[in-house]
Amino acid sequence: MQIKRSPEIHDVIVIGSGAAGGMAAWNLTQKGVNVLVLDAGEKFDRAKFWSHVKPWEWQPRFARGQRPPQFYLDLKDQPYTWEEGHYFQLTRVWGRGGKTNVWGRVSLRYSDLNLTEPERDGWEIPWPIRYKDIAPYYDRVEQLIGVNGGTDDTEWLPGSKHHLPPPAPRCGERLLQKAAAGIGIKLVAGRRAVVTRELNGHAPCHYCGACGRGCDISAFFNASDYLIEPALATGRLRVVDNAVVARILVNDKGLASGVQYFDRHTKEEHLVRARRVVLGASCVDSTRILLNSKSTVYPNGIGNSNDVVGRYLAEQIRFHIYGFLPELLGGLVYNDDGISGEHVYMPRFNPAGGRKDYLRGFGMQFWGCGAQDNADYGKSLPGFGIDLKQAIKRRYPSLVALHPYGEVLPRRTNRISVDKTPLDRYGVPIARIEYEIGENEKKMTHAMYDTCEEILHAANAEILPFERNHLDVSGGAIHEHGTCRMGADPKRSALNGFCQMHEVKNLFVVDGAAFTTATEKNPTLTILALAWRASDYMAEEMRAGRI
Amino acid sequence: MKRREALCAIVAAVPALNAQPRPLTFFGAADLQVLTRVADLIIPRTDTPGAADTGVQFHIDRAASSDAKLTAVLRAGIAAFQKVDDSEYARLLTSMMNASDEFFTVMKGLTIDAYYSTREGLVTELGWHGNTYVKEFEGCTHPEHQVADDAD
Repeated sequence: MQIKRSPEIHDVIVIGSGAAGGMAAWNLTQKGVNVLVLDAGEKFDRAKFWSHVKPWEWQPRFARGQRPPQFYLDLKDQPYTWEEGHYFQLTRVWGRGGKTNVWGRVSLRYSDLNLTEPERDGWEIPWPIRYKDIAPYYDRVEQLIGVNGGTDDTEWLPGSKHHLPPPAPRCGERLLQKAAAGIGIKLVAGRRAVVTRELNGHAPCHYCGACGRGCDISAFFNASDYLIEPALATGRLRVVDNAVVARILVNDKGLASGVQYFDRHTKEEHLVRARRVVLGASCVDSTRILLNSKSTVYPNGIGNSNDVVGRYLAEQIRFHIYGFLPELLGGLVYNDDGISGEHVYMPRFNPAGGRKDYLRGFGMQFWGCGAQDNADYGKSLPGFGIDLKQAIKRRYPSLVALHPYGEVLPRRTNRISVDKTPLDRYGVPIARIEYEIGENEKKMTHAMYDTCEEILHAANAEILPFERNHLDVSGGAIHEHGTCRMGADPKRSALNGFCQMHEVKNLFVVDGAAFTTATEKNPTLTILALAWRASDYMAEEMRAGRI
Repeated sequence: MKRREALCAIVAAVPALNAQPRPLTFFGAADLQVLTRVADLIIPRTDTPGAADTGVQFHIDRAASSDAKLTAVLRAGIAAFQKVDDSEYARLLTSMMNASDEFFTVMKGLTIDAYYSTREGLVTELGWHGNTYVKEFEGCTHPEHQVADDAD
């Protein structure tokens, strides 16, 4: 097949249109830069979301041949492999806005305690930035996208002056908050990128609880409506849909000179030229692209002479415990949908009384408290028949759910590679993921279970049977980090603190791959802040003629 | 909660009817009869409809059509029930439960999934009234549930 070569040399090519790429494209176009975005999918049609389709309406619709939007990338469409016996579940959304179409929306600021932790405990390299470097960008991001939350401000979870009003906690969450307070654990208001008041033209949430199916009115941040659309409105952005990027091209000076991509449907090969490239295709896909970008200058993948790219993959450990609160058994059933997801959050804390036998730590989310549109817990109740039916009904308003998230240490052996892997439909090597948690995470898991049980016992809850030390499948938190990490030492990191490659000054990597550590927090708010900061720096370097 | 009370009153006044027959995608009529009876033993009709009333058996039939492992478990279970008299079903299901038989676990899971996603199971039985438009989310308003030192 003939290769399509575009003669135009773009100011900047951005790969990906999610939180990372979307933010870079938005900020650069605001600053007058012309940008070409390559997106691996298409725009999702908000009018066709199934946000308000009731559970009993799904099957009849399926029978008529209707389908909800297919957000999640099919493994057959773009495969990856993993080490035998160590399955890693990779969740990808290819299309305008990426995973932000359906994300969990939890928006927590990282603290100096997070960023300096490697210095304190000696495990791997520290972040090259401090809270004061990101704080102004957190402020700007929160004002742009709308994050609701409380007025709390602590050393593990820095506060914000820009939170929208948080939704009131549900009954179960109030009772957990009260019980936890009794044993010295403080649950604060959740922080979510859901617009609870009209903001920047985005209509407020109507509390239908179906965020996971995509929001029909765009009341939570998604990069498509909040970033790409305004960027298009400047007239300085062009988006190419269905552009599956394979490689970043390199010139003889070792700088990025363009991008090779394949049309997702026709498989046609395209080469586009650029003076600068921003990579924001999500951690694993960005890393695959970097490692496949081999040249005589960079035989180990672009910007990877130090063999750091692809290594230190860190996700998060998590699990789920359920209970029933006695005060709410057999009580009134409320519409507990709210902003979907928890309205309270347990920030990381240092256990009272001192020492812990593991590094780093965990926070806790509480999504799924109160009346749900299913009764899954019934499967774990004993028996069958009228007794079971009554037991399910009685417990229905009293359900509480605990979901702790723990940091996984960066390890050199946890890695993404493209060597000796099969080729995809375009003839490009696919990613292979090798990933295993270690003793530290196993010890932390104990503490996570202990904390869940302490809170539930304090609330006098009936605890639904669980298997202690069970963890979600690797990759389950959908928080991949670290495979192109930033650091002050170019020998041990791939990027500087502005997401700029040490070796390739006109190449920036702005997604979760850039993170030095995983932390216990959800990364998207920080991806947005760091991508904004990186693209500010990039625009400044362009103006100064350095890149 | 008046709407919910009204709904309950309607259901109580009108005897629940068995679900209308629907085309089968996988099992035959004799197999379906077993699935229907077992599902109804798991979630029976009370003052609200039971599993069979809501057509849970047709959901199970459809689920089996795309899952070979599930099919094998269901086939083995159905065969066991076809060997006994109808009046023995509850006893057989109890012994399967006590033996942690996979058929019991699978049927219980499928029945709960399907029943509580029907309007009868979710709205009439449990009282769910979510996934709708709400102007302001009130949350918990019980004075006794509030935290004294309000952690915001």
